[in-house]
Amino acid sequence: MRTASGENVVVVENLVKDYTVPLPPKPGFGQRLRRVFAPEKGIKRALKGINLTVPRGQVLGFVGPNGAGKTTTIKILTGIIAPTAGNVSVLGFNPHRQRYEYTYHIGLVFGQRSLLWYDIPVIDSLKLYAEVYEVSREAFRRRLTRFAEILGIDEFLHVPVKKLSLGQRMRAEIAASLLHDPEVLFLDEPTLGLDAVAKEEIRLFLTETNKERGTTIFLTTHNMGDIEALCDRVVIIDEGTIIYDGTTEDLRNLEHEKHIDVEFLPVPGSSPLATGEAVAKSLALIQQYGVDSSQLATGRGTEARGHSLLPRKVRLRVPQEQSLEVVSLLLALGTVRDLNVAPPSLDAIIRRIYKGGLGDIVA
Amino acid sequence: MILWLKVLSKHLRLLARYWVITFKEFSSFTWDVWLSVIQFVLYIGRSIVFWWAVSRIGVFGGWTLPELSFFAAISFLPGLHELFWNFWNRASFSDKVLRGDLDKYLARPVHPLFAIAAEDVHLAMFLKYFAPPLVMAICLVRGYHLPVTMGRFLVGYLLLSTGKLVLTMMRAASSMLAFKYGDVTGLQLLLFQFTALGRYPVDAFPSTLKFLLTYVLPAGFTATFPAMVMLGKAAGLEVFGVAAVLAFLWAFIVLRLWAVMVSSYESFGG
Repeated sequence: MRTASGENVVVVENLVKDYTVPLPPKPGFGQRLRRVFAPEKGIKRALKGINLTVPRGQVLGFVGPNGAGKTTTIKILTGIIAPTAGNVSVLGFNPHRQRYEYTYHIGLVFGQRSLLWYDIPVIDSLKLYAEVYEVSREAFRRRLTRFAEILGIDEFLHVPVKKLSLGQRMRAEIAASLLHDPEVLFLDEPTLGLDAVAKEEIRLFLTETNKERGTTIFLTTHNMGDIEALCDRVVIIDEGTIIYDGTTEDLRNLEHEKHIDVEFLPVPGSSPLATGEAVAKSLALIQQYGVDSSQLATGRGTEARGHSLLPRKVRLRVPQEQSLEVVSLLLALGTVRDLNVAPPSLDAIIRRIYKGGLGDIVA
Repeated sequence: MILWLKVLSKHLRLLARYWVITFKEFSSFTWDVWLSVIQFVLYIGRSIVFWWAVSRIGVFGGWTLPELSFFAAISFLPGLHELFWNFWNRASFSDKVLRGDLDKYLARPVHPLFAIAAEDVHLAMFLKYFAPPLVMAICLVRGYHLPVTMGRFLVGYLLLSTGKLVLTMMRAASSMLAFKYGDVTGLQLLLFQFTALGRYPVDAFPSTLKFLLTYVLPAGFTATFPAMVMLGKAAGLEVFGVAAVLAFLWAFIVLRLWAVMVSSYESFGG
């Protein structure tokens, strides 16, 4: 029985998943011998009671370090594995118990695993999927035309999968998973190993699919470019627990700093506008906020600026409210060849979250 | 009822599509196929030479040389179900469980066991294994005027198919243990090594062994009883009844085990 769950297409409550894992052998011959006949096993808790809802039409980025529980979550949501405890409902279905009916409504792409047949042309795999999902001939033709227009799959429809490039194969995989026009699309690392052009094509296609068809997209990735290009919302999971859940914009604002990169021209002397006090203040700032201020201490890669040493290139991480002041001081310090002021990348923010650097800010 | 018919029609259409796919795969390896046909014919020939050597000693368990040769030929016939699935025999199911390869089957609206089995649907491979022993059997019937009629042959073949289906189901049931215990290939080798005895006329064995090879590990249904039915040495219906009951029993066990064990599937990490 499919149960209504409002506009939330995914509802997860207190989801727990345990895996059985072999325990490391204890020292001693007797212990090793015993292990041959009765290997010791332990329980590893991969998901520790996570709660999550995803509204219809949202593009959700589900990120986390390796072993955090991303793939386990996606496999539970797609009905591939059963949860140990907790409630899972997707589109009103219990994914594991109602797998047959449920899988008509979802699409799935694994970046590391192919859904296509290796030795035969792509078109034959697509025709098979059309039968599996009971797609009418007319709908099949229409969708194939769309995939050809946006994903360019017509170029390699009659080529065996084994002869495709990774980018082509991934485009074919996405076409296969969207052939039945699913309401929810689960993507597990879809851009893994792809070049910049292929990534861009896939992101564009997914964006259009979400906008035109209203498809809800649940994406796991390590690629922050995917998150920035596609996702309205980011959920970060670590060691089986959700540690952040918010919009991509809010995530970016977690870091109240700007990254300032400046490169000075190798001309002796400071800017004519710089006073002795300004030079001293700038150098102090570099000491305080420099990402790598060791150059100043060692004198390597630096040039004499009067009685002080100034690096040729400086990278600073400056509190947002001080960034303007710092920029003007840097401009006064020497002749600037290049200056870049930017918010920190999502990659940098998430890296800091993984390392616990924003531990007091996140959920 | 309508729903069931719809599901059945979908699965038949899928089967046809799988046939197209496997035929295309098959046709890309033609040279290998011809080599394996020759190898298979030689293998059957070797078996007939073996029985010829045995018959020089005397009549073996009531079987004459032409009958033994006929028996040897039909023991190589594949069962009808092997047209539809052959994967259990390749012991690949436990590999699929261990390597996490069930993911793609579990994420589709089609019964995973059907999908795995149907992927191995192979009309051409079936004919490759069906034609050589059949041709040999026909030659032996003609050459030695064996009392095999078309009716008896069909009943015997149905019996052989059912017997092979029982063994396939038993193998499938043991494969389900892979969900709990990992690699079960060794266990399967241990359990099914005695099925090789089906290549010998089991009615010539001592009564206990004959009983075991009829009801417990029913290798007798894969060649001996079918050959006896075809040669008119046994009544078909009675033997067929036993094989059919065993086939239904084991099919039921497989489906129950699947329903229980699939919850233990752990897939594979990202």
